[in-house]
Amino acid sequence: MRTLSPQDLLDLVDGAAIFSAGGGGDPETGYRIAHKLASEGYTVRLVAPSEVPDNAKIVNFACVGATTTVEYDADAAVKTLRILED
Amino acid sequence: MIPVELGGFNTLAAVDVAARCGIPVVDADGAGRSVPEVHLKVYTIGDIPLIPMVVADLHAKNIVIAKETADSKAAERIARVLAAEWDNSAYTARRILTGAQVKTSPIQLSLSKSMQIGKLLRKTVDPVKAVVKETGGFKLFEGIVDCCEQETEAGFTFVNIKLRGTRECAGSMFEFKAKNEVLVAYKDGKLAAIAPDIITPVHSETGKCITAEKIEKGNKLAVLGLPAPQKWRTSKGLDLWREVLRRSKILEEYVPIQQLHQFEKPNPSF
Repeated sequence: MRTLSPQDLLDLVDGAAIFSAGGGGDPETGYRIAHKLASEGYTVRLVAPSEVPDNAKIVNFACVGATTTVEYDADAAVKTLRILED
Repeated sequence: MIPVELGGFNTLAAVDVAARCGIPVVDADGAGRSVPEVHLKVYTIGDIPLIPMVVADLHAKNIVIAKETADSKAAERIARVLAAEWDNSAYTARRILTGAQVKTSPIQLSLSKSMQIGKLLRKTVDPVKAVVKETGGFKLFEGIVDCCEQETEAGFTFVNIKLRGTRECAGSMFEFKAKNEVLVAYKDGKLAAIAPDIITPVHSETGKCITAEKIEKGNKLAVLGLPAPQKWRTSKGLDLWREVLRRSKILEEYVPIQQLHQFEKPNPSF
C-alpha cells in the first residue's frame, strides 16, 4: 500500500490518458479532480492486487456516456457508490 | 475500489470516489485502455457478470439499480439508454469483485504503469519518443488536422479526423474514426491500426493526449499506436471488439499493430 502525492495524481491523469485512445473523458476534468482532492486534504491509497485479501469486496466505478458532455459532481458520484454498497 | 478503465477523467473519477469514501484503490483496471461500451471489459472474457449495477444521473437525482440482466451487453444497453436520456452522461457503480478475482482478472498494475508514463511525459525532452519506447508502441503519424467532423448521438460522441502529414510524414494523409474512443486509423488509405490496439492522438510536442472531441482543424498532432493487453488479443476478446467495430461499419479484421508495422523501426535512435 502506498499513498499517492498530488504530483502522482497529475501523472496518473496524463499517463492514463495515453491509454485512452482519445476517449476516457477530458484530462482537464481529471486535473481538477486531482487538485480538489489535494486542496480538501483527502488521502489516496493505492494497493497492489497481491496485497488485497482474497475475501475483500472491490467495486467498479465509472462514468458512462458521450465524451462531450461529462461534467463531474463528487457528491453525486459518492452517493452512487454508497447505494451499491447498501 | 477499482477503476473500470484507463482514461484522463474516468480513472480519476474512481480514485476520487474511493478517497472520499476512505477506501484504497487497487492498482489495476478492467480494460488496460478506455473502451466505448460498458461490457467491453476483460471481465466479460472471463464471464464475470456486470451486475449488480447502480446507474445515476450526474447529480444523482435519478438512480436506477439493475439487479439482474440477461448478459453484460444487456447491462451496457441499460446504462447507455439511461445516459442518453440524462444529457448523455451517467455514473455507474457496478460489478463487485472478490480479492481473489482482482489478482487474476483485471489488467494488473496499470495505474502505477500510467503514473510512470505521466512522469516520463513531464520529464523527458522528446516525450512522444519516450512514450513509444516505454509502451512498445509506434508513432503512426504526425500532421496537421485538415478536417474534423463530430456528432453526439445516443450516448456516444462520434468523431472523424483527417490529417495532412508534416515532417517525416509530409506528402501522406491519415484518417481516424472514433466512437468515444478511436477505433481505426488509415494511412494513405491503408490500415494503420485497429482496436483493440490503442490509437491515441497526442500533442506533437508535449506528447499529452488530446481527446478526440477536442481536436480542431489546424491542430498539430502525433498519433500513437500502442499494443492492446494480451487478454484483448484472445479469440474471445477479439470477438467482443469485432461486434462493436461492425456496428460502427468498420469491417476490417484485427491485425496486430506489430504486424502492420513490422518493417518499421519505431525508435531508430534508441
